[in-house]
Amino acid sequence: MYDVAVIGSGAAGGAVAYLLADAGLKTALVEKGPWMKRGDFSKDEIAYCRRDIVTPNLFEEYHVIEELSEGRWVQRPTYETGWSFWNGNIVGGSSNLMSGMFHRMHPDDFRLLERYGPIEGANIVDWPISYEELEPYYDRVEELVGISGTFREHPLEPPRKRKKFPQPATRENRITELFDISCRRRGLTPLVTPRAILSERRGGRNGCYYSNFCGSYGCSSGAKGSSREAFIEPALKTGNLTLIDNTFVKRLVTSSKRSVGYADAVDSRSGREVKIRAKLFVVAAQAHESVRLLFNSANSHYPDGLANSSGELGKNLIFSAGGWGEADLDRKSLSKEMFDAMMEPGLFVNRSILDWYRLKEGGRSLKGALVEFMFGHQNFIRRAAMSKYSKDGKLLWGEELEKVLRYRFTQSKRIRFEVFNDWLPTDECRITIDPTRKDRFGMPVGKLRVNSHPYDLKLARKVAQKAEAVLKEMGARNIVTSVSSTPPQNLIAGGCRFGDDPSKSVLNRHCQSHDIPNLFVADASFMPTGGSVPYTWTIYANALRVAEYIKKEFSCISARS
Amino acid sequence: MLTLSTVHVHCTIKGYSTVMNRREFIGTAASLAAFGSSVSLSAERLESEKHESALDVIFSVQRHFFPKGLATMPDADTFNAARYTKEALEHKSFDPDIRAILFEGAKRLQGMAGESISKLTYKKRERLLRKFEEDRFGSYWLSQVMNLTLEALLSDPIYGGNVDETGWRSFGLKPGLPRPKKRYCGV
Ligand SMILES: Cc1cc2nc3c(=O)[nH]c(=O)nc-3n(C[C@H](O)[C@H](O)[C@H](O)COP(=O)(O)OP(=O)(O)OC[C@H]3O[C@@H](n4cnc5c(N)ncnc54)[C@H](O)[C@@H]3O)c2cc1C
Ligand code: SF4
Repeated sequence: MYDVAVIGSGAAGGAVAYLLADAGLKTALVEKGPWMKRGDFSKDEIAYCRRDIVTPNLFEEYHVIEELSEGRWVQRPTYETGWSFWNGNIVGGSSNLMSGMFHRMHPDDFRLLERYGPIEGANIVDWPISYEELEPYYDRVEELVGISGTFREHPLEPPRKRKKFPQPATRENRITELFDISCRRRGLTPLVTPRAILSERRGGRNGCYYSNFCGSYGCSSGAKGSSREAFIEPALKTGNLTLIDNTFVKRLVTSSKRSVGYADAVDSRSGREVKIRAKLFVVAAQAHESVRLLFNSANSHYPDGLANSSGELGKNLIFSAGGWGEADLDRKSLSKEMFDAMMEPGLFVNRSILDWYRLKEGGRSLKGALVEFMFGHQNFIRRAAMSKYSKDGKLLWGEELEKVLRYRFTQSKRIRFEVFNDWLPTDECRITIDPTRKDRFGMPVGKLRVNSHPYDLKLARKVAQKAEAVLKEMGARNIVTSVSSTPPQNLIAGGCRFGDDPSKSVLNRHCQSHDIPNLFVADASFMPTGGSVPYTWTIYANALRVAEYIKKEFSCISARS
Repeated sequence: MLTLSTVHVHCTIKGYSTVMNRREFIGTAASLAAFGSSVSLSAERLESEKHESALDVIFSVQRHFFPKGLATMPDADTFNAARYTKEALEHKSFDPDIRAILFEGAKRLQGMAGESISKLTYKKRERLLRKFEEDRFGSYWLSQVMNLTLEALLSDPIYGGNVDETGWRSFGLKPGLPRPKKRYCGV
């Protein structure tokens, strides 16, 4: 029997397992996917970006997505659409494939209701903890993961204990000079985006070699601060961690009303059934899959799913998004010198704008957004495929296609922004399971109803316009912007809200089930609101906070269960 | 890129989301089942006559998309679009619904042409494909054939296309390192 079994080895699971193994607890880390190591990764666009190789085959494992279409909810299984909600199912989870643009949430984000007031139709609640309580863990993540960056003072920058980042910022493409000047001309303060990427060698991890293909790919140098590199590899060295890969947890089985006894799992290659016994369980399967696991673990004590006495399980699903825009920077927009420098592959843009995190409207303060700037993804096939239509929607081929591809590959680069504003929690964005549809393990699949609050779209449009103005100032051409209620499937949170009131939340402030003391949920599902930043720094920080609590209380909890 | 959002999968084709299209096509094309929709096709089955003639149609269209004599881009035979396409379709990771749509579309296009597409003059073939594009299914089919051909042009040569890196070289593209040692990560 293990002291602790952690289910899911991604950002949250890896961080929890690291801290507990380091504290001497016998920890099992259970992962449905295979263990791909640093040397296994390559920049193979077909395998990583065009087929389901590091994610399950959608005909075997899928989700059902419910979207509003012409006023009607339409359900579509993802194998019919190709819109996969798997994000990286290998040891280390999607953190292997992330771009590592890291942001802390702002103190306001923990007090959204108190600070900005209610919004009709949105289920906004304040967090039971404050920024100050999470700050030491944000700080620890910087150290453990190795976050690189350059601190610049900004009135909306979340307070930090240390000004200096543990690693200097990663190298930047010279286009940042133009970006910075353009921002200043518009009275904006460009900030250097902190990255979960080592700029210099540290321990067994090499610094970034600017491979030009970062997001969506595994890292071959160890520079990317994935859960596997930053937490799982070091945790294995303690001798207290058992990594159980290729093992899918189907359900958690309770031994009494107040205790989970074992995880019912299956070897995903051989189909052999496995029972994993532990004194304490931490679920970290990524928000939507953690919720699904809890629903699928319903039993006679908990007919509506584990940890669901409040009836809140699966509700208030949120995403980290808002909108995006892209434009071309080319010979016409840039001097020859700047154009040549920009075309060098590999180096980053690493810029974000925080100036719009708080907005004013009619004398009233509004919660705004963060905007992140980057080059568009460098994938060759994708870039070509995105360029294959003429303006009037005709497919291009032959000479016409050649001309467009020459422009795309040799005469221009896409500059892109992504707007991150709150995805307000609503009744129409939630996770349930579909008992009529089962995956290859015979388990009901997760059903995600996805929709956003009209306020989010209004705000995103407002901020996207401001971001567009920066691109125009840079001289970028062919600007396209998109603001829609289609969520990004890789930045997902909510569904197991934490809170102090057991009738209104799934988890308590320690991310422990209100109903079952030896059950914790450590991924982003705890978040009642998501802030206006991508989540992963917060996921890492909170997972360490949860693990710290488990470490302190382990004897007490395990004695009681 | 952080958000795997609209552009990644919800790629809009002529104003219609691909999400809508695929479902619609699977639902309406009665003969799709015959081409193995939602089931794995083995390499052996691709050798069968029915698939061979469909593949020939696809190869002819690829040759039309990438003809000989372009200034920089290689023609479809030079980067071996046919080999790439056949082997990609045979691999279990290829979406079986899209595979079925590809075969069904080839049959429809052949029916529209009335004679071997490869034997048509360039002009006639051009007219035929533009006519086929007017139909939603035809437009979707052509875009899928183009996607496959662009994969053949720009993927790592390990997959059988992009012979001698002609696709990359024609645009001065530097591949990311390390390059793959096995197709599909060895899966
Ligand atoms: C291309 C891409 C780019 C990104 N860029 C950024 C970025 O720049 N900044 C940022 O902040 N975030 C980014 N992210 C998001 C980031 O990766 C996620 O927020 C983070 O990894 C989520 O952590 P998690 O632990 O909740 O889930 P994951 O890291 O996905 O881990 C969950 C793990 O649980 C496993 N699992 C699921 N169910 C079971 C089960 N039943 N049994 C056993 N195992 C199970 C899964 O296989 C997976 O390995 C990006 C993601 C992607 C895909
Ligand atoms: S080497 Fe650098 S750019 Fe390449 S994947 Fe690793 S962290 Fe990203």
